[in-house]
Amino acid sequence: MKLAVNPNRMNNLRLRRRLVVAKRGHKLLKDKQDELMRQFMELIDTVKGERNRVEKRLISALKRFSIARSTLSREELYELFALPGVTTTLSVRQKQVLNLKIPSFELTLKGDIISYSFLRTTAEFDLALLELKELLEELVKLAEIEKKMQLFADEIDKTRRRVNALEYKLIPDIEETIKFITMKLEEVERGNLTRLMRVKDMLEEKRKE
Amino acid sequence: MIGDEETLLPFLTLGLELYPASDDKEAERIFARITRSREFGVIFVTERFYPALKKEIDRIAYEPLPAVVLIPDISGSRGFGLANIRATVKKAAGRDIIGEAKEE
Repeated sequence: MKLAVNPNRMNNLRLRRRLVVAKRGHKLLKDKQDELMRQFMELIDTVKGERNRVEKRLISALKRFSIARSTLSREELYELFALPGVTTTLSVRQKQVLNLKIPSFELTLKGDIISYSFLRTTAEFDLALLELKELLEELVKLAEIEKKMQLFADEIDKTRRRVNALEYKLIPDIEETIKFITMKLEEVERGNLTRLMRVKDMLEEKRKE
Repeated sequence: MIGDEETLLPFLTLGLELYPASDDKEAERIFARITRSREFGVIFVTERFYPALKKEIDRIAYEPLPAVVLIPDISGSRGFGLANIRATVKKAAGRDIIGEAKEE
């Protein structure tokens, strides 16, 4: 579809400039898309591996804990955990990758996780908790890379739309319009020329009479 | 962390903020409150409540914060986490390339 502009020299010139800009923008975006895609591919493999690993470990850790706590009633457990020995803080920072702001999480655990009475708990109970503590750090890491993956996916999607809009819509449209204007101008030129010739003929005929 | 009580219990001593939910409705309410407060960087949700929260989770998936992580509960993974990764890849690539890779 050609653009709705008047076919004159001014617009022709303007469109030709726009075409140059559009082509340069298209190239840049294409490069960005390729780079995003490359990084994204690497990311997928890491995320997939991590997710599988962490999920498996978490399930086994939860099972262990469940067995270890079986000697305790629910009330006793709440009593034991009434004063958590660990304070957890999560600090969020932002990293810049290309034009994306990627959050990066850092977990700080303070204090000793084993802050309950040893009287009623078993050694397995301690071990299960220690394992969960380690897992928590990995879970946060997983959160970070999964978020990164999602943000990347979104950006790739957006970039792809832009690239396609330029490649299949804007650039062909501009090219078509330029062609149309050029042809129209040539036609006007030819029309002018024949009219001049005709006028000249008429003048010469008049002089002969 | 949102989930059923049984899965959350061990995390109590790790200093996390726990929001046990007993049914889907409750989980939805808690999730809405947590995301609105904007005080959390990472939210863990057990897979049991994923179907109920899917719409909300997908809505914030492409915002910088917070990060929502699905965790399996004690009964095992239901594969929602991986399915999620797959959906994300599909969005980025415009097609399902993980599936293709498996067929090779």
